[in-house]
Amino acid sequence: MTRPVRITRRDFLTLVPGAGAGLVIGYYMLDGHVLAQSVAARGLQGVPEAFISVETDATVRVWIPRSEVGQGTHSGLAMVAAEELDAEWSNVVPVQPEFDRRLGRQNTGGSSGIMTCYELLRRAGATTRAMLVAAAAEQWGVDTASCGTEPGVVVHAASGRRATYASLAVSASRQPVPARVPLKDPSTFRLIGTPQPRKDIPPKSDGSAVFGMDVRVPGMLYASILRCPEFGGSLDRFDARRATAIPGVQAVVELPRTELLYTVGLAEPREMKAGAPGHHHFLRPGVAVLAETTWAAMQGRRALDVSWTPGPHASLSSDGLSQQFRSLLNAPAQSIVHAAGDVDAAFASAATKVEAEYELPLLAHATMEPQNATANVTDSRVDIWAPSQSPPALVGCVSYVLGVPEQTVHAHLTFSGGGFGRRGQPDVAVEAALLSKAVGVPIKVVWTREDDIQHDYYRPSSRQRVAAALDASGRIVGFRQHEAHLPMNQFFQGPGVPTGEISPRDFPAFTVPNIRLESSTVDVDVRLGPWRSVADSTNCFVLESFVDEIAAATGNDPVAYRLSVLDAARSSANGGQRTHIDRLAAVIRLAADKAGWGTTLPKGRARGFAAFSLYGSYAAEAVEVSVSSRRVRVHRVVCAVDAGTIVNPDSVTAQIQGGIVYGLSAALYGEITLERGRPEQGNFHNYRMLRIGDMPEIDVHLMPSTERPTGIGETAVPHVMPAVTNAIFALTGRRLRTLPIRL
Amino acid sequence: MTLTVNDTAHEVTVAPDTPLLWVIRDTLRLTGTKFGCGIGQCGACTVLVDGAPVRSCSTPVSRVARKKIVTIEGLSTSRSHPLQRAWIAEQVPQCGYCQSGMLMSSAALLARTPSPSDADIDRALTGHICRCGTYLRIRAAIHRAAGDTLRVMGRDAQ
Repeated sequence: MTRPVRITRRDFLTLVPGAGAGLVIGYYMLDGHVLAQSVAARGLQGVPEAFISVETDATVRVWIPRSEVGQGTHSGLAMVAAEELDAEWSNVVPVQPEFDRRLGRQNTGGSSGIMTCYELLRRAGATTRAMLVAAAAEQWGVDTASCGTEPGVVVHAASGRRATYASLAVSASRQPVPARVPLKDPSTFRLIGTPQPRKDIPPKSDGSAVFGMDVRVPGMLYASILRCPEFGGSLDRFDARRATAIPGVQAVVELPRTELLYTVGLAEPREMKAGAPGHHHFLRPGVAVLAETTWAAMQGRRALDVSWTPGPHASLSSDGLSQQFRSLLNAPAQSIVHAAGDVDAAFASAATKVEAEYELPLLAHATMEPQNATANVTDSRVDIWAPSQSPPALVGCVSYVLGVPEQTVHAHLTFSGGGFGRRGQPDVAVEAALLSKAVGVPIKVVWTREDDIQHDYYRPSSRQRVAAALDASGRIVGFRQHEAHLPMNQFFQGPGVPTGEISPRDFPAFTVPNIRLESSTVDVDVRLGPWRSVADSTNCFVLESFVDEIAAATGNDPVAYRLSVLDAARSSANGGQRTHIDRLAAVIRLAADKAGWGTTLPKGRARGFAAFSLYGSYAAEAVEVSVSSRRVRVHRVVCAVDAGTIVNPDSVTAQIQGGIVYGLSAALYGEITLERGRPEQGNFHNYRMLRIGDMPEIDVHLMPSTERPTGIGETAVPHVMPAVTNAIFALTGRRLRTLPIRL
Repeated sequence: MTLTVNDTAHEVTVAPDTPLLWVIRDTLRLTGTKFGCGIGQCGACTVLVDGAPVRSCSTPVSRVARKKIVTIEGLSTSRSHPLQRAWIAEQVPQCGYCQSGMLMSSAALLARTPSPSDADIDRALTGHICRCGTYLRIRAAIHRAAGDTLRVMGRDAQ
């Protein structure tokens, strides 16, 4: 998308606060090319997404248009720019910009940070370097081609002259911006592919890192909101007398209502009509206690007398939903997600059929930092301080709900104590903005852990029926998959849009000529949202359990079976498909090899396996488990990952370890159960988490690759779930088709 | 009442049953100590009271009025505590929100068990949750810090 954007020097300095007199360049992608504008230019065509500022004190600031939620994207992307710029890593400072639409969308999700910004930041770094070289060459009266760089220095080999970037910054800012600069040959990379220390880790080791929860604005009040505990319910009446008697409580107000439907990725707020399919409350109805301290607000909330009017979901229960899922699976599907070939014929003529049903629960994100947002709404502007994975959704929804122009809403993004998809929802920012507008002072809305677990945007629950038709040689010739589920996609695309979250691109579907994938949904007013690895968190468990079942039914080793299916598909695959198959097979072999798959284990232990491709990457895991006293113990996880070019192997390893823990926590303990219209879980005593004593050994093996970088944040989350249940089958003969694991 | 936090005396006027966590965060404006669950289940609020790890979210301030309280801000100056140096060397934090609590409990562990085993570490940190899954690096960092501390104390020569 191109539209003329005027960026004056004053704009620049507002967008890029702290930029000194040195070289400041804005970069953006246009028609596949990276273009740049320096402070001196005007009439920019496009939307600058990144800036690099080379300063006279040697600091190199790299603006990163993504949020740091713990995944290391700030340092990783800064490394990419620093590589091509040939900057000293110790001088590089990644900067989180305040959200501004002129700087692009800045959404952080889909494990896409490095993937989507890699080219941009490489070219930005290279272009900046070229201008520094040109400045030195001009100063020395030599050809630019005769100059090179060492980290932070331009050198003229023939004469031995050297000039630091710091000394060249001002003169470089007067250089014309070159249109297309060659990039480094990856074999010459100095930073990319090495474990550089992350810049956010020191402040996270001494308490100085500022999270949304730590923001303080003069004059602010803290808000604790008692929300309707029942899905679909509404506020009847409330009595604030006991609450306002609590010292420190300043006011008690009903949370203003809004029926807005927002979309996370598109950030275009849309109005929902009451009663329309997929209608849900954007904000849970509630009563807010505003106080001088967090504790007073929480105490005031405990002292509220509130009565609620039950809505249509007063008797909603997980058992009831499960019954509905089963009924849907026994009826014709509501929609076809994908069909190819003749599935019915394949099943009619099958030598063997394998069929199974799997059911997965609602899951909460449980970010370590509970939800929070601080808002200051005045007559002229709105300021929001919050951790956010979707600044455009935040700004779009706040401006929509308040009825103010978007340009007047300023989002100041903090570190996020975990994201996992939860911070893409703008609901908390809207709560804070509505309250600030209502009372005329800055408001910080702080969610308790109970709020966080009970008013989450859950990973949807579902039940899937999967069937495979095998020919006489055991080849899968027909494949059917029907998912009955709570539809999350409508939260992205609106009601009425087909909401299949299963995909023909997953294994084994993509190897089978006759397939039918179907979806049926249940409409409930339960907020649903992307949970780290999203639909793959469900599909990987279903499909990798099912592949294991087919292997067992045909008397095959699980690893050998997967490889044989892939191998058979390879011969009829086109080039791209063949690469896909090869990369998946390669991680399967690597994980199996490193795990010693097939070698003898001590008595009482067994291995399980899973492999899956997601976010453009490939991962395979072999786990080792034992069972005693009806509890499973995971001893070891061996994980092989192909994520293309790895920018920072240490960060990537950390993300894989962390993803495995996130997935294992869900496999062992994770479930949100609904009873009488509300979640039964509320805090960590009943929404249990993996703790240090549960930890398996984790061995991570990164596949060397020169392919473009692909996703890592979510890539290693789901595999451990089916790997563990597959191991339990190998050990006990018992096949678990639901999570969390119960023995 | 007078609270001694990080070797500084503070006069605070708060209800005696106010959890220490909120006095630290809202009254004293030390935000390094975090709120995670409010019921002592996650460890993010851990501070040291007379050297012992305490869940400040579940501790009424009146109970610690005459005790020596240390928060993450008081663990060292300039991240010089061996644990903080180890945390950075091992690249422990991801989102970072749980780490203040982890560091405080780890500091208490090393003070009483200078050379902890993995089992000692697990016992000391079982009350802590890390959603980013940094547990393995935490163990490695504690061992590293323990090694550093022992070197300083001259024990590795034995």
